[in-house]
Amino acid sequence: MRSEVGTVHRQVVAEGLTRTQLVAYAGASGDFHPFHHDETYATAHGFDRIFAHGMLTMGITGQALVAVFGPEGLVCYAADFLKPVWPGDTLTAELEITAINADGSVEVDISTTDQHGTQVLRGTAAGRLTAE
Amino acid sequence: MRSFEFPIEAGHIQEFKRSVGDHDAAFDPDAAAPPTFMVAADRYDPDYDRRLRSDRKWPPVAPETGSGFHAGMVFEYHRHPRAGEVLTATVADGEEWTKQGRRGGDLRFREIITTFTDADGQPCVTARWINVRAANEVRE
Repeated sequence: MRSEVGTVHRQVVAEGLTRTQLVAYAGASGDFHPFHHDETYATAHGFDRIFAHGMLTMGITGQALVAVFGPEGLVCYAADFLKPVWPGDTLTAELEITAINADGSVEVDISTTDQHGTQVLRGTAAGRLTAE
Repeated sequence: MRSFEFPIEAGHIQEFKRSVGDHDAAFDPDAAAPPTFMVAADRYDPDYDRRLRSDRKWPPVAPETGSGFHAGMVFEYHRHPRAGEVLTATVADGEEWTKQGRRGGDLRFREIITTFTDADGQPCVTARWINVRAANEVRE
């Protein structure tokens, strides 16, 4: 990613999110809230079906951050969870450089959208870009 | 305030990476923790309640009895921990504030701050979990 304000990195970070991935995330994170794997429980509490953990959406979006900042370049990563993410969804993360700091680190705005263009996550991050 | 140990295991990092979309992540005994990995410290938290427990009914009776909706998360990285380290997670209550919701009614926000320190007592990562509760609508 070019170190210039306005530069955008766009990456498809999930293609047809599977229920299996939700279960894999529950195991890896330890978060077994039934909203995220138990369809009977989710529908009994007013949802059409199970949905992804907010932290799964943040983790999936994190792949785009690792792509531009590397595995140890991040200084800060913040996200708000705006909408549920459902099995079958395809997610695209977009990072836009908003500032370049005196120490060479950059700040980015983050927007993750689903296949309908609905923003499901909004956030910011800062860190050092990997060398091009 | 309470604390517990979080061993950073290479196999756990591999499992976590695969679960967030790096499906072919290989085992790396020296791997750096991915950006949101610190949330997996919950697996080692003896008080964590989103898991099967011998002292609790499962599943939770109703969302109304839960902890609210997870609205956001912030990670600050002092450095990125690696496999083989054992961190200490210290959990404390953060700020609380109230905001008017779009549908009317108050939304009550609450922060839970977890500070991860290394074997030398130096900070690695600070995580802020932001919860929101509405008077009549609690989702998660």
